[in-house]
Amino acid sequence: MLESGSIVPYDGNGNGASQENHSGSLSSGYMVRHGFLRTPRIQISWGTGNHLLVSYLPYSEEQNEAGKIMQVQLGPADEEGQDGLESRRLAASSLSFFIELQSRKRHYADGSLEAGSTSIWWENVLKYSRDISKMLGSSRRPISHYRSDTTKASKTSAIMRAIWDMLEIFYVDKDAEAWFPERLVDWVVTHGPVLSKKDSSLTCKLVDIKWRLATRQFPEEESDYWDGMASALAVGWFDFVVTFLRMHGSYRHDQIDKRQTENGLVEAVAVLVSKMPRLRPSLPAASPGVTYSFKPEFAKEWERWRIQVTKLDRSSFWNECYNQKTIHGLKKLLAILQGNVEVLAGSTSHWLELLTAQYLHVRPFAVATEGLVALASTCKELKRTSTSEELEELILAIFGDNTEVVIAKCVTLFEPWMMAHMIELLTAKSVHVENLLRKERDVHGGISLEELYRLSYAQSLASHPLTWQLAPVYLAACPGQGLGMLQTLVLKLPLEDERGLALKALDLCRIYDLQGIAASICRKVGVHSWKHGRIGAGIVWLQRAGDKRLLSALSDQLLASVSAGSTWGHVQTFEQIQGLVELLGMEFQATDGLSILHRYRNFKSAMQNIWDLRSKDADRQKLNGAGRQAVDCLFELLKTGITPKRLWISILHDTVELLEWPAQVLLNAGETNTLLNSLQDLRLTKLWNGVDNLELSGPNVDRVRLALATNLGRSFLQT
Amino acid sequence: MGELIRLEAGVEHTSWNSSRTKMAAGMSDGSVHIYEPLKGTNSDYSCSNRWKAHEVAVAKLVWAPSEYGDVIACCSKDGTMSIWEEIEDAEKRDVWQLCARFADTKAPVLDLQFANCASGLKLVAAGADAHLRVYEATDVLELKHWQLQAEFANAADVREKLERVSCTDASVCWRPATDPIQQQVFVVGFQTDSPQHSIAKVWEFGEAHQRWHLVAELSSPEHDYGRINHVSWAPNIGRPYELIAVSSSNSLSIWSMDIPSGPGQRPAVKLLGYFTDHQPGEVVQAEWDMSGMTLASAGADGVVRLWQSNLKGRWEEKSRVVGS
Repeated sequence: MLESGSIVPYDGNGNGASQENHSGSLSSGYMVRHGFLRTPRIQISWGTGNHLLVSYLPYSEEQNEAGKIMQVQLGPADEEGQDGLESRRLAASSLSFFIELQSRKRHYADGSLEAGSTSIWWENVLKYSRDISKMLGSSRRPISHYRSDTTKASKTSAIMRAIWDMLEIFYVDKDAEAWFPERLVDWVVTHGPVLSKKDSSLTCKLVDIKWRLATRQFPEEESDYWDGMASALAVGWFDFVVTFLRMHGSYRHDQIDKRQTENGLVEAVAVLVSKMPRLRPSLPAASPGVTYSFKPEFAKEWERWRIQVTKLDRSSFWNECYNQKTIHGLKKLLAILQGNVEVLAGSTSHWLELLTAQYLHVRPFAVATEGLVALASTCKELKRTSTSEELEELILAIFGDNTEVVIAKCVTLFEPWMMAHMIELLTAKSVHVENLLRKERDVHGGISLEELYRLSYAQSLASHPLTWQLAPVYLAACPGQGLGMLQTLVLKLPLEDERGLALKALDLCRIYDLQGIAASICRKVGVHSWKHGRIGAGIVWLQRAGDKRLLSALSDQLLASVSAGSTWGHVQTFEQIQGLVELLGMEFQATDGLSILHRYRNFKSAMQNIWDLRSKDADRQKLNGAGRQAVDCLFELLKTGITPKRLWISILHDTVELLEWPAQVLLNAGETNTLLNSLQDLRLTKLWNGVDNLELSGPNVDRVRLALATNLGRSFLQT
Repeated sequence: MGELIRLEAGVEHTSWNSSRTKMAAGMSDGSVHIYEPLKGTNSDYSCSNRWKAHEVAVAKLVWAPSEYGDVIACCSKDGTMSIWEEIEDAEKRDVWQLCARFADTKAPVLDLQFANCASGLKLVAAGADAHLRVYEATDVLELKHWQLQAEFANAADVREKLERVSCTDASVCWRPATDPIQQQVFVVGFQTDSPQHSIAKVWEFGEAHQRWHLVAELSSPEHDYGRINHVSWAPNIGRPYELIAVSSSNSLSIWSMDIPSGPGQRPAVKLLGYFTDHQPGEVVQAEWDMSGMTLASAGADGVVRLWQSNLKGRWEEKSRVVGS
């Protein structure tokens, strides 16, 4: 069964996954209404997670028709039409329980479970199971969904919870083996509604009777009254039976004298029901019955109680009761209490109710699964019900401990969430199941089923921007291929425009030690920022990536912008360049572009210092020192021979101020000659290609030339 | 679920970027349209940019790895190829500018694919002469200059090399990497009348000899594989073997290829599935999901079929998307 089963729930054959997009009917798969008369060309692409993007393009001869791209969400879609709100709630709520159990598992494996926590593994799983069950019980999915249509039901939290609880009884809770019939009663009480359609559900039937008969003076006149009570008694809803019995008309003050015997019989039955021995550790508050944990003691009490039931059944008081409906009704209740199979069959509607009644009234001493499948099959034959066949097969497989079928059915019926989480229940106490689920198999290169289902669930989480962050937790629990999928997931995140998302992704890389991916993220954001005008951010991210090659290319571009007259792209002012050069830092000085940028920045800073000192009226000595420092920076910049010549004219223009320094000559004859040679070089080599906006003849250049000549003369005179 | 983008008339090819936030459409008038969601939404796609990239219809479009920014390469039906990138202009608008135009290729380009290799951004182009040309950007930031690094025939031996072949279409796919740096391995398939040249071949760059060499041929005698429409290499998140899907005029075939244990070793290739389910048989494209567990194939019949391996390792159709 398992070998042919679907491994990732895209199977359109199962009730769960079959769906339609827009409208239309398709027995298997997904239907997309593209609206083209002639079959269009198709191009496909996978979106994030389980989204498939299908381009429908008309053929070129149909030029007037426009194509469209449809998004198909594969796997079980959310029925409630709230864009998967409930599935997301489920995913978010169950995460902490999963993490806690995995943490306990690690501690359990290395024997370091903290003091006070249980050392028996299945008890840890039991706690996990109950937490999840409680969470499933708080589902806000509209109840009408699972009542009105059982084919859609498989995906609802109600059915998931019902199956979850049943798995807990059979696969986790070892203590439940001792009081199995009562566990079955509790299950039917809680999950009865998922078994039937709305109108035929026992719960609905009883609630309806209660509302209808509550105001009647003599409800015992109605056949519903007795039938309802018989059904409730059969499946063990004793509180309902006792309450209803005491609504009997003979309890009325005006009736008590006339119907004393009748009332006595009713009360006797009510007392017997209230005193019924129950083999279970405890009962919910206000529930009738007397509990026993010790089986021999229960057996003794149950025999004694049965004798009382028989005694009442054979009592002569019945002859003194004249209300035939009461006699008939009470006798039916007593027959149930005595385990009359025919009456039990007549009083139940679903085969699981009949099975529960059989265990409660006929085989109260039965242990766990003894003969369960055979009895269940008999009950099933007796009761034809409307529960989906897949669900019934699943329940029978759980009864029969047929784990392979349980897995195969759950894959078909439920969303990937169920598979990823229920594996813990299945493996809680059975070595056989553990081998089945945790052994590496010949699938996708040798991963276990447990891992396969976690990967599948993580992929479905990746489909939504609000749940992708949960996926790494499940991927981390996949020793084989989890890390690979996590890397793929992070690399596909749309980080470029989202700084917050990039930081989250980096955080993930830190937690899961993905250094290569972290560098890639930083490069992505850095390059995107750089190319979209956020130059400072680009530098910071690329430094974070530690990518020398990119930083070098980036500083070369920055230099090119400076040498083109600082008018490139987004860098407009020297202050901007200065800030960017600061950001680039010193560690990459080995690259030419960055080295020149640093020297240019130093020269400009020295010039700025002179202007600052002048504005503050600083003393002459200080000013001369600053001037000399600027000259030093100038020659640092020019002597390397790597400063692009197109940058020289703007540098020489800045130098005029130094050449015309009052009262003192800052540049000596040799230095001035070097600058003159530079200017001559520019003219001779005619390297002005690409910098047409700078002119070699004009007042600016003339001024430079004049300043140089004047300074040369002054320097001669000074020496 | 439902309609994501309504395109304009005349779309020849569509291509999504790796994070599926932008979609490029190549048009029959030679222009390229970029679609992206409105800021702050995941849906509401609209055309954010459009420009004339070629004189004739754009045949194919591909996105570069996002580490190089928003960059696309496109080839037109006249066989020319161009590379474009998105930058912000002085008025703070996102504009697409031409990085490079490859007008001097020896044969019309039929398909092209980028790869982020250790040495930088590479681009492989499959020509109509059944030759492959591998280019590399000389600058990692400025994608204006491209150097032809290798040019070789898609031929297994000298006899094949000497054969003069004319191809009508081609498909190239690099081996996807889970880490950001890609190994220099790709699969290519040409659409031609020559049976020998119609076999999908896997090429790898050998660091030792600094040249491209043929690693595997995806062919087996028991089936006729028809004319290749598309090749797709599955992402590998931890499998000890690789998976490649080949879509052709009559079938979809799924191949496994062992990862070679050492240089110079020829990996074992095995046919895992051969399917002729698409009616009338033509499969135009097949794409793998992010885990490499599910393959979606698009048929000329307008149906998308989803394939998965069962627990015995046998590939089966699991579901389908039918349009109406």
